[in-house]
Parts: sequence; C-alpha cells; structure tokens
Amino acid sequence: MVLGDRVNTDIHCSTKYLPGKDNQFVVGCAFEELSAGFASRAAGHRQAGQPIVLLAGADFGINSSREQAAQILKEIGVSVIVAQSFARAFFRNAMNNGLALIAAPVSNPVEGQPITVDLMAGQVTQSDQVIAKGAGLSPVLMQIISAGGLLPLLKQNQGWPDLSVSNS
Amino acid sequence: MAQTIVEKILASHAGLASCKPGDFVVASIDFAMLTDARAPGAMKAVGRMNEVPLTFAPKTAFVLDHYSPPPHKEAAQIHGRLREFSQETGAQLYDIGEGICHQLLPEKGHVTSGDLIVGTDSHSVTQGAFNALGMGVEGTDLTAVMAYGKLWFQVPPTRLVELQGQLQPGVWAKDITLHMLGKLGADGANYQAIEYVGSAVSAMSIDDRMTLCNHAAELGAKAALLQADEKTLAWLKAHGAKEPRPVQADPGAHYIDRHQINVSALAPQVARRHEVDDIVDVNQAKGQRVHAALVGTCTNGRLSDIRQVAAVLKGHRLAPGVRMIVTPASRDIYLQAAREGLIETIISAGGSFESAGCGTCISVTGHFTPGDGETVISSANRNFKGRLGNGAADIWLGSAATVAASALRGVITDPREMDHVNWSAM
Repeated sequence: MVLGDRVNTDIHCSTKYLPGKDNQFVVGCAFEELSAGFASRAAGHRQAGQPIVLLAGADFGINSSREQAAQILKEIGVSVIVAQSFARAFFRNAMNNGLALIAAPVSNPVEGQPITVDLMAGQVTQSDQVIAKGAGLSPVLMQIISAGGLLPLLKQNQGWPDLSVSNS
Repeated sequence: MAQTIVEKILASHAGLASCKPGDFVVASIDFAMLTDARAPGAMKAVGRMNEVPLTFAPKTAFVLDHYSPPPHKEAAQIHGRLREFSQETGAQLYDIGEGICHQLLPEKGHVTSGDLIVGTDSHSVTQGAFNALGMGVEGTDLTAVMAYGKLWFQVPPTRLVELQGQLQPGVWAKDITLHMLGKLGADGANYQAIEYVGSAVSAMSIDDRMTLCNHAAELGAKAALLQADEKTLAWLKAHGAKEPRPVQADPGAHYIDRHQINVSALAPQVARRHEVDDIVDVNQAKGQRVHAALVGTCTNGRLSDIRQVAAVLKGHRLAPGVRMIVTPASRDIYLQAAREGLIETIISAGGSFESAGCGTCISVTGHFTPGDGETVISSANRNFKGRLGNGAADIWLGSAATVAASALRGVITDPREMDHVNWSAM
C-alpha cells in the first residue's frame, strides 16, 4: 500500500487528536485523509491473510513520537514499511514494536500488487523488479523484529541475548 | 581507534573498546527518567512485562512536570498511578511543583560526567552540558531499562561546532541556538551528535550551557555534548553528583563536519512565528507587537533567565496590554529567585509566576492559551502553529532577556537597548 511524503503518524494513525477513542477506532480510519479508502483496503488484505508492506516517501513519521502509531500500524496488518527516510522517533518506536523498516527511495510502486521484502538484504521486489534497495537490518534489530518487539525479546530471553556490536 | 565523546560513552557502556557511527550497540544505562506526559504509554508497556522484576527502578525518576498541577481529571489519575507505581518499584518520585525533569536530574545529583542517561523526552539532550550523554526514548525503551538496565542504540555521527570569540553583554546561549537553527534548519542535525567547543562555551555559565545543549533537540540532534571543566565539576559537586568520569574526544577523532562560528558579533535572535528555524536578528523584528511574554521551560527557566527578566523590569511596569508569566524550572530555582527578590520585582512590574514545571511551553499543561490574533514571545523551544492551543495566535521565540525587553516595550525589542541594565555584570 502506498503513501506519500511527510506522513505525520501522530495525526493520521494515533489517538493523539482523538480524545476518548481507542486503537480499534483508528484502525478503522487511519490515513483516510491521505489516501481515501486506505482502511478498508487494508482490512481486505488482513481478511485475506496478506501481510501489508507500506511504501512511502520522505520523512515518514515526521513530528510524531507516539509509540501507539507503530502499534496501530501492526494492528492494521502492516509488517514492513519501506520509505525514503524515517523520522528518528518513529524509527525507534517501530523497531521496538516489531515493525520492520527499510530506509530507501521507492521507484514506481504499484498499489495492491504482491511484493517481496528481504529484510537482511534491505531489498524490495515487485513483479520481479527491484523497487527499493537500502541497508538491511542489523543482527540486533533482526532479533528484536523476529521476537515481535523489544519487550517480547527480553521476556523470551529473560534479558538481553548475547549480542556483540554489529555494523549496519 | 580515535573516538568522539558520544562514541566513547556508548562504547564504554556497551563493554566495547570502541564503536563507530552506524554501529548498533547494547549499552548499560546509568539513570532513567519518565515524565507524566509519557506515563500512559510506559505503564502499558510495563503491564506487558508482568512478572519481570523491575530491578533498575531505583535508578529511575518519575517526574510530574508536564501536568503540574494537573489541569484535568485524566492527568490527576495518571499522577496517582505514578505515585503508586513509584512506591511499588522504588523509583524516585518528583511530585508536582518540584520542577522539570531535565532540571531535576542534575540538581538532585542523578547525573555526572561520563554518564549515559535516558529520558522519555527529546530534551534529555540537556545533560550534555555536564559531559553526560542524555538521549530521548519512549515507553517501551523505559520499560526495558527498568527491567534490565540496558538499551540498544545506533551510534550517531558527530559534528564539531567551535564557538569562538565572546558573546556580547545581553546576548545569550539561546541566541546561539536560534542562530544554529537558522543555519542548519530544524532537523538539520537529524540523528547526529553535536560537540560544542570553544572560548564562548568555556565562558558560559552552567545555566547557559544547559540551554545550548537543550535546544539541540530542535536541530534533530540525538546528543549534544560539552567537555567537562572546572565549572562543571564544581557544579556537580555542589549538587551531590557521583564522582565524575569526564570524557574528552581523542585527537584525530572523526567528525563528519566542523563549523566555526564567531559569536562576538552575534546579535540577539528571534524565531518568527510558526517555524523554529525561521530566524532573524531581533532588529529585523522591531516593531512587532507582542501581547504575551512567557519565560520558563527546560530551555530558559533557570535562575540566570529569571535574573535577566528582573533586571529589565526592575522599577518598571509591563507595557500596557502585555501579560507576562514566569515559570521557574525547579522548586530550588523558585526559592532562590524569592531570596534574591526577583519574584517581588517581576510581580510588581505586572508579571505572574507559575508552579515549577513545564508550564507555558505547551497548551496541554493548562497554564496559558493566547487569544486569536495575539502574538506571544516565549523563551521556550518550539513555536509551531497551535502549540499553545490556539492556531490563530503566533509564537515567536527568543532569550529570556529578549522576552523581557519585549514585554517592557510591548514590541519585540533588542535587550541591549535596555540602558538601565548592566548586562556585563550578569
């Protein structure tokens, strides 16, 4: 699924400006102002058991520091976001909540078409074309993502697994 | 391997001989902090850990500063839960009126040179003033730290900024930070560490050094660091800090770039409405009417800032139609301001004081909202449209001195024009 530049997830994917609402409410209307019908298309993929790869432009998550946005994105069914760049607070929140990110410009994405992501290689393919190539996830982040987030990783290991420094 | 300050601190805390930008490390934390603004998310995260004992909790502070005092029931409920939670876990609680998290951490002796500090607020970078690495994190991170005392970080690259020369009387660190924002742009140092060095830094008071590092958050910086010197060590000692372990960059350390800024000719700066990086010399904003003047926040709520305000207002009244609100950054600062007669001076001039805390930085605290068409001049760190709860009002940013001079005249004013103030003596 495709979005543009400078997506403010605090505004479009959290309850920050929707006092009294909960995550489920946002799942039903996320990103509606940026891409009409987004929530229902996402629901369609969810119901068909298709994990969603979200493709976006520059500064995804700009001015947004809510972890809740990353959690809602997962509830929407997004498992990976590929975008030209990410706001740093969003980057940290996404990884900590098991939402994988690849920072790379995306060329000619097609909405609704099947897509393949190789997290370790940082490569995204659609219809046999490589549409994005960035740095792959480091071992530390792969462990966090595989466990479904930082806290699940720590609980499962009863602490930090033995990780030596890794290069990005 | 020659390393910068941030590389050294991360490496030593991760049990590594060295590290370089781009590396991911898992580092031990010296102290952690959670504010009431981030408590709901953090409490949810803690809930997910259930039976795991939060052994690091005694090295964590819960600070009730954003909603100090609570403006609504929801905030009061959060405070109640944090009080209980601190009792259960042994975390240190700083209740309403104690002050802003970033001010309290060093004042209460929780920070020392060489430390790695995390806090659930982007202005955790303030601790760089003490040669400590302070970084902003979120609820999940805070929970991970409370349980296991360590956290993952990607090592940021470092930029070196040398501040040469000497600030003129009436010009302050805030004017430098605004100038940097104009030069690099908001997020111009995104996920980078900045090391500030030079004669102008050495000459700065600790208050001003805190401002210098604090406002680096608006550049997008992950860390802002100064070297420790006699002033740093004396301040830390006076505040009961643990033995400092000063960290200096190695000769030959790699910086991605180096800037040299001569501050001797720097005029007071202001950020124009809505954009933190739309910076002009104060004299280019001359004549801009102001309706409200706000002094405080973790950026400029310290004793030095309140003294600047009192010096400008002593024996005078605020311009007709201008209101001023001063919020001390901590209870200790509030008390000291009282002892020095600053509160009487400011109140006699027509200003008001608020309970120590984040106060008038942001509307959610419930302290101040401007009316439609009004212009606010503030010593805070951000001025985006609607930050004070009214998108039809404008917020300009400046130093405490600029805010005070503007409040006196009713229009944005260069504080150096205050003939009755001997800035050199401050």
